[in-house]
Amino acid sequence: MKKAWIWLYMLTKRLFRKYSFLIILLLIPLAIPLANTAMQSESGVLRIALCNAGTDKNAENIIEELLSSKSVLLYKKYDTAGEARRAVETGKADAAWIFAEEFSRKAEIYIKEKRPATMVTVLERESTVPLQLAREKIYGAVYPHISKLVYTTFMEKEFTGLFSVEEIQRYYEASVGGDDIIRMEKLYKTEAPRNENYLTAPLRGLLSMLVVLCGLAAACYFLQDTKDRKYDWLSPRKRILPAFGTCFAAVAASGVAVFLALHIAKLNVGFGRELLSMLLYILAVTGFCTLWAVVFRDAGRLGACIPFFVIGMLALSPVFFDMERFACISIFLPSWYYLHAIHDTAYLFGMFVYCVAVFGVTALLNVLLRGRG
Amino acid sequence: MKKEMYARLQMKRAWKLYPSILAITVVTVSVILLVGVTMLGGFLHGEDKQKFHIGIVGDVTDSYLGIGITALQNMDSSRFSFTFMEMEEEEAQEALRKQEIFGYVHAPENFIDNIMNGENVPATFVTLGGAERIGTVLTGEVAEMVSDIVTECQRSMYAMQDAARAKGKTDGLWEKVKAMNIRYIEDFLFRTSSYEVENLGIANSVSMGGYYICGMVIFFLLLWGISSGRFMMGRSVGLQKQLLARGMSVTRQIFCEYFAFLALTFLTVFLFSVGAGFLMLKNIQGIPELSGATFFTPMRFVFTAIPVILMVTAMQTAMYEMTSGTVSSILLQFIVAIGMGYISGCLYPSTFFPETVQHIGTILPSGVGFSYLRQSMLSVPDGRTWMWLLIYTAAFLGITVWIRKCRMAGDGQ
Repeated sequence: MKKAWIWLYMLTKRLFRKYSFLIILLLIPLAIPLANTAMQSESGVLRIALCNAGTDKNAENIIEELLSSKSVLLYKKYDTAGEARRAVETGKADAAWIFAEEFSRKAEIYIKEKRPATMVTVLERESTVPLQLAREKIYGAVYPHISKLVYTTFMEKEFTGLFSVEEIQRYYEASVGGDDIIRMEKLYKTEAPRNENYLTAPLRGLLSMLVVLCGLAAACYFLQDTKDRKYDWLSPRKRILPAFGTCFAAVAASGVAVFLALHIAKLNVGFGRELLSMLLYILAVTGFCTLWAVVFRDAGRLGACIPFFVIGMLALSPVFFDMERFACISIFLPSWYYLHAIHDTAYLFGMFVYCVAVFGVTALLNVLLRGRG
Repeated sequence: MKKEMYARLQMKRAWKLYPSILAITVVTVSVILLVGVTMLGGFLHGEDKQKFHIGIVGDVTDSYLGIGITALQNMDSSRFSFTFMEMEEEEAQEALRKQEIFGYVHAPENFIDNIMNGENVPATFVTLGGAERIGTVLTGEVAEMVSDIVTECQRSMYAMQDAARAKGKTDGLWEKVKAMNIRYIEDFLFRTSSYEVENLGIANSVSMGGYYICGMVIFFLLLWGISSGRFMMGRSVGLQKQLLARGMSVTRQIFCEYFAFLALTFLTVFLFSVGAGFLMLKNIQGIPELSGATFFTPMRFVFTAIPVILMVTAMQTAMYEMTSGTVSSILLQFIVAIGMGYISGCLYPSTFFPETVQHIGTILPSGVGFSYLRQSMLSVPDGRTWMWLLIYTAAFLGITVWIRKCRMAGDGQ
C-alpha cells in the first residue's frame, strides 16, 4: 500500500513538472470565476429596440416600465423610428417595437370603437418562435392601459350618467386584483447555484470535459512511456497499475481545480453533493481513461481518437442540451452521470455502478489482451 | 538539407498520417453535424418543431379549462408558438425529464370556476430546474404575464362591482360581470390587431440558420487542431536542430511545416465541402442563405474561406510550438477551441452575451474568422476583416518563429 502511495506521488510530481500542464490547471480556478462575473452583467436572449414615435405620455411610461423590468429580453431605447429600424436591419437588435405617434388615441379606437388600431409597429428580420413569443410581452406591457380603458368605457356605457369620470377612476385606483393564478415550481428540487444563468449553465459541462481530456492525455502519456520501455521491468498485465496511477494523477489534479473553480465562481450546488459527485467522477473518469489506454495500446492512436471522445461527449452529455434519445450511448460516458447527478441523486448511484463496471471491464480486457505475459 | 527536400518530407509525413487523421475527422464531423442539426432542428423541420410544447395536467373534460385550451389551440395567436398536450402527471414529469416538453401546467380542480368566483387558487407551472433553458425562461415570463393579465381583469371587475354596490345598482350585476368578462376575452383573443408586424428580411446580416452554419465551420476548424495532433506533435526536434546547423533558418523550417499543415487542412475542408455539396442537392428549406444553393456552393465557400483557414492553421501551429508533450498540447488546443468557440458565439449566438463579452468575442481570432464567414455568406467580405485575418496570420507565424528561435538558442546554451 505504501508503495502505491509513493508511486502515485511520483507520477503526480512528474506531471506537475510539465509547467504548461500546471499553468492550465491553475488557470481553471482563476479564469472560470472571471468568465462567470462577465456573464452576470446585462445580457439577453433577444434584443428589442424600443421607440416612442411621438410624445405620447402613456407610450413613454410603458417604455420606461419595460426598460426597468427584469427579463431575458434586453430592451434598448432609440430616439427615432429610423434608428430602431436600422438597428434591426444591421442585426444590432432582433426586433423593434415602435409605439405609434398617437398611441393613446389608437388605444381608444381599439377599445371604444372596437376597430383594429396599430398601437405598436413590430419590425423583425425573420419570424422565429422566440420572437413570436416575445410579441406577447407587447400586449402584457400595454395591457394595464388597455384594461383601464375597457373598464372606463364599460362603466360609461352600462352606468350612463351615474358616475363622474373622477369617481370611475377612484374606484379603479382603490381596487386590487386577486392573487397570482400561476405559481412556478421546479421538478428538480436542487437549488440552482447562486450565479447560474443560461449563459453560465454550460460551464460545468465544459469543465467536466476538461477533466476527461486531462485523463485521456495522461493515458497517452503512459502509452508513450510504455513505448519508451519505461515499464519493461513490470509484467505486461501489471502495467495497468501505472496506467491507473498516471490517469488518476491527472484526473484528480484537474478534478480538484474544477471543484475549486465551481466554488469560487459560486456555481456549486452544495459542498457535500459537489464533493461526492466529484470524487465519484474522478474515479469514473480514471476508469474510463485507463480502459482506453488498455484498448488502444498506442499513444498516437489514442491521441487521434481524443477529438472524437471530446466532441462525442459534448454532444451526448447535457452540456448545452440533453439528447435523451441517445441515452443508450450516453450511459457509457462518465460525464453524463456527473452532470445529471448534480440535480438528481439517483445518478450518483448510477455513477458508482459505472465505476465498478468500467474497472471490471478494464481488468478483464487487460487480462485478455495482455495474456499471461 | 535543401528547403524543398524538407518541405517534401513534411508533405510526405502529412500524407502518410492522413488516412488515420481523416478517419477520426469524419467521426468528429458527424458528431458536429449531429450537434448542428439539433440546434438547427427548428429551422429545418418546419414550424411544428420550433414550437414550445407545454403539458396540461388536470381535468379538462367538460370544464372551462378544456374550453379555454381548445380556444387557445384553434383561435388564439399563441397556437403558432405553443402546442398544448394533455397528459397525466407522471407522463408529464417523464416528458419533462426527457425534455420533450418545456414545462407543464398542473391546474387544480375547478381552476377557472374559482377564478370567476374571485378565489385565485394558483395553477402550478412546473419546469425542470437546474440550468434553465432559454425556452423555459421565456415561457415562464409569458406565464407570469398571463397571470398579471388575469389579475388586472379582476381588478376592473371588482372596481365595477364596488361602484355598482356603492350606488345600490345591484340588479343585473352578475350579467354585467359576465359581459365585462366576455369583453376582456374578446380583446385578449384579438390582441394581435393591436400591433402590426413588418418583416424586414435578412438583407444586412445572416439568418439564425446561416449563423449556426458559419459557427459550426469555425468550431470544426478550431477542433481540427486536436484532430491533426498526430502530424503536429510528430515533428522531430532533433531534425530541426540539424537543419539549423546545416544552414536552414528557423523561419524556413516553420514555413515548410506550416504549408504541409495548411495543405492537410485545406484538403480535409475541401473533401467535406464535397460531402456538403451532396446535401445541397436535397434542397434544404428554412435557411434563406441556402436557397438556390447548388452542388458547387460549399466548394466555392471553401475558397472564399481561405483567409480563415490560413489564420486558424497559423494559430494552431503557434500553439503546438508553445507546448511540449502530448498532455499539454492537447489540453491547450481544447481549452482554446472551446473557450474561443464559446465566447465568439459559435455555440450560443453572441448576441446572448453581455456587450463586454460580445466585444471580446469579435476581436478574438475566432471572432474575426466568424465575422468573415458571415460576411462571405451575404456578399463580399469587409476589407477590414480581411486585413485583421492577415494580421493575425502574420502574428501567429511570427510568434512561432520567435518561440522556436528562443528554444533553439536556449538548447544551444
